Amino acid sequence: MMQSFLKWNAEFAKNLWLELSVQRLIAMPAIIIVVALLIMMNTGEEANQVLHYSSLAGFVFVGMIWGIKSSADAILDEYNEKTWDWQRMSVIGAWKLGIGKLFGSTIYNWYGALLFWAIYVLTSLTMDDPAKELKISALLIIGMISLHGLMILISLLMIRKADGKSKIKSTRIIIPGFIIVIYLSNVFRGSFFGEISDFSWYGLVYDPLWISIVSSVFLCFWVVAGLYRSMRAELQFSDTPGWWVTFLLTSFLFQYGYFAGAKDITVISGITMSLMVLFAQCLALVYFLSFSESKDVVNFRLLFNSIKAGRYKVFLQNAPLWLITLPVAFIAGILSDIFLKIAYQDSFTGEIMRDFGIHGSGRATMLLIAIFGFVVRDIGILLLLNFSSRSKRADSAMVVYLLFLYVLMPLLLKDLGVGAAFYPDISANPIVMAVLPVIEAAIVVFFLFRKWGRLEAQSAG
Amino acid sequence: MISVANLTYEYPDKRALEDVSFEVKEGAIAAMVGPNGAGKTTLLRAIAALSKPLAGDVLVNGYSAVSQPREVHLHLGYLSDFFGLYDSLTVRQSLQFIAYSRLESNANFDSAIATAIERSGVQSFLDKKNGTLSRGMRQRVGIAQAIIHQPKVLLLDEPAAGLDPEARHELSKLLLLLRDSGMTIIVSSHILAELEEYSSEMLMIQDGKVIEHRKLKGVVVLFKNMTISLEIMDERFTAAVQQLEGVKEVVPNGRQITLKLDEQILSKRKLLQKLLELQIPVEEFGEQKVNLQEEYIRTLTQYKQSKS
Repeated sequence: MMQSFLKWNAEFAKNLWLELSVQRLIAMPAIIIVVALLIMMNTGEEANQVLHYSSLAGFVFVGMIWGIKSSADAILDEYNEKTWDWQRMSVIGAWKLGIGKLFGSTIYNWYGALLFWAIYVLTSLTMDDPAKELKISALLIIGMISLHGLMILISLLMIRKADGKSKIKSTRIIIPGFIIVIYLSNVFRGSFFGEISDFSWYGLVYDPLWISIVSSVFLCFWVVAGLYRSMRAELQFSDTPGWWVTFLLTSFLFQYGYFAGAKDITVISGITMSLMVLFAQCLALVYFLSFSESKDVVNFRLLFNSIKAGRYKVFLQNAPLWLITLPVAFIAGILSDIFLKIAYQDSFTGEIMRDFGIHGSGRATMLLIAIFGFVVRDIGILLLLNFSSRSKRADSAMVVYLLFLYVLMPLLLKDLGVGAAFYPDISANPIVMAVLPVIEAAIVVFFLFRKWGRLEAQSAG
Repeated sequence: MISVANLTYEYPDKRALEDVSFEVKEGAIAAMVGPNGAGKTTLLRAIAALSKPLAGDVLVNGYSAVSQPREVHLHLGYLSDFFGLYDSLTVRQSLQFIAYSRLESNANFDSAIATAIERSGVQSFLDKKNGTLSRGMRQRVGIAQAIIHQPKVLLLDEPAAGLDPEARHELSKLLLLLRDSGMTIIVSSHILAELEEYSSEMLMIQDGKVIEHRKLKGVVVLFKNMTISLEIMDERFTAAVQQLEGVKEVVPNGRQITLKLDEQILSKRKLLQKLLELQIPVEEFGEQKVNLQEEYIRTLTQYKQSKS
C-alpha cells in the first residue's frame, strides 16, 4: 500500500510514515469515544446538543489550533533538520509537494478532526435546522484547509528570511495562526448566528451561510494556488508575478459582487467602493509583505542590475511581492479617486465618505496623496534599516519607529496642530495634509538613494 | 563536466565569491580546500543550483545552474555537511522516499534503491531509524540518498568531518568506487591527509577566490622533487650534484640533498647511476611525495604575502 502512496505522492507517503503509528491511530478515537460517552452519560436530554457543540470545539482544537503547529512544522522542521535541500532538488513537482505538505503534515489532525466532524454531522440531524448545520460543517473543512495552507505560506516566508544558521521554532507562528483563526471565526460568526441577513453576492446568493461558503472557497482557492506558486519558487522555477496580480484583480471582482445588484448602489458607486476596498487591501498587503519578505540587499542589487540590463522578465521573477503590490495599490487608489469624483453625487457613496469625515472629492484626493506619501516614507525607512550594517533586528526596529511616528509623536504634539505630519489627518488643511507626507517621503527617498550609492560603491570596491 | 565561469556571490554583509572560474573534467575527484568562511559551501551550493549567484554561471553536464536549475538537479547529487536525514524514518524508508522524489516516474525505483544500498554499504542497518545511527552511518545514508538517481556529478560538503579514521578510510574507498562508476566528484574538506587518498586535483579557496587549481595525480610533472640521503655530507657532493645536467635547485640540509629533477633530460635511474659514478655515498634515494598539507600551507602563505 505504501508503494502506491509513494508512486502517487512521495511527500504525502513520507508524512504518513512520520505522522502515523498504530498507537496514535488507536489513541485518537479512543479518547474521542471516552469523551463522547462521558458527555452522553452526564447531560441527560441535552446530550445530543452538548455532543454537537463539543464536537465543534474538538474539531477547532484538533484540526485548527493543533493544526497550526503541524502545518507550520511541515516547512520549519525541514528547515531546522536541514532536509529542505532534498525537497528543493526533488522532481515530484509543485502540486504534489504542496498537496503532500498540506494534507500529509496534518494527516493526524485530519484524522482526529474528521472523527469530530462525523459526530458533528450526525448530531446535526437532530438539531433544529440540519441544513444550516451541514453548511457550517462544509465551512469547517474549507476553513481548515485555508488555515493550514496559510500557515505553510507564512512558514515559507519565515525560512526565506532566515539566515540558515539558527533554528526557527514553530511557536513563533502560533500568534499569527491565532489571529487567522480569530479572523476566520469572525467572518463566519455572523453566518453561524444569523447576524448577517441583508447581503447578496452578484444578486445570485443571498443566504449568509452560502455567502460565507463562497467567500471561504474563494480564499481557499487562492491559498492553495499561492501554495502551488510558492512551491514552484522553492523548486527553482522562475515565474513572473502575474498570478499575484490576478489574485488582486479577482479580489476586486469578488468584492464588487457584494455591491453589484444591491439596492441603492449604482454601478459607479459599486466600482468606487470595490476599488477603495482593493486599495486598502493592497496597502495592508504591502505592509504585511514588506515585513514578512526578505529585504536582502543582494536581491535588490540583482533587481537593479536586471533593470539596467533591460532584463525586465528577470526583474519580475525576482521582485518581492510587496514591490509588485505597491503599484497596484497606487493604481487602485488613483482609480478610486477618479471614480469617487462621479460617485460622490450618489447618496450611498457620499454618505459613507461624509461618515469618514471626507467632505468633497477634492479632500479625498489630498488624503490619497497623503497616504501615498506615508507609504513611501514607511517602506523607505524599512529599507534603510534593512540596508544598514546592523540589520539583524531591522524589522523589530521598524515596529518601534511606526509606533513612534503614528502614536507617540501625534500624542506628544497634539496641541501644535501638526498631526498631518504623522498620520493622514482628515481635519487638517488639505494642502498641509498632502504636502507634509510628500516632503517626508522625499527626504527618506533621498537618504535611501544615498545609502544605495554607498552600498554600490562598497560592493564595487 | 563542471564549468564555473566568473561566478560572483554576495551575502548582505560580504562578497562570498569573487569572479570564480574553473573547470573540473569528467571522472575527476576534486578536493576543495580552504579555511572556514573561504566560500567553499557557498560555491558548492551555487554549483548545485541551490543558491542563485549575483553574476556568472555554472554549467553542470552542459546545463546552466542559473537558467536550468531543474535540469542540473537531475544530473547532480549534493550532500550538505549536516547530511539532512529524517531522524524518525528508517534508512529503508528514507531511501524509498528520496528515490520516489528524485527519480522520474518511469524509472526502476527498486533497482535504483538496490544499487544505492550496495554502493554506499548501508545493508546492515537498513531497518534502523536514522536518529539512532552513528555519524559514519549517517554519512553513508546521506551519500546513498545523494547518489540514488545515479547522478553524473556528486558534491560533498565536509563529508569526513567528525568521522573516525576507519570511517574516513571507508569514505575514501567509497569515493573511488563512485568515481570508477562514472561520477565526477567535488569534495570540500578540512582534513587534507584524507583528501590525498582519493583526490585527483585540488582547488584552493581563499577569500572567495580560487587561488590554486592543480592536478595531484595522473599528470606529467616537469620537475620531480628528489631527496638523497648521504652517509656523510661534504660540500663537494653538493657541487657535483649541481653540475649534473637535468638537475635544478639543489638544497643541502644536514645529511640530505633535495633537488628538482627534469626527467626529460635525466631519468631517476640515470641520476642514481651518475651519483654512484661520482662516488657520492648515497644511503637513501627517492622521490619526495607531494604533501597536500605542506602544499596548502605553502600556497596560502604565498597568497597572503602577495596580498600584503
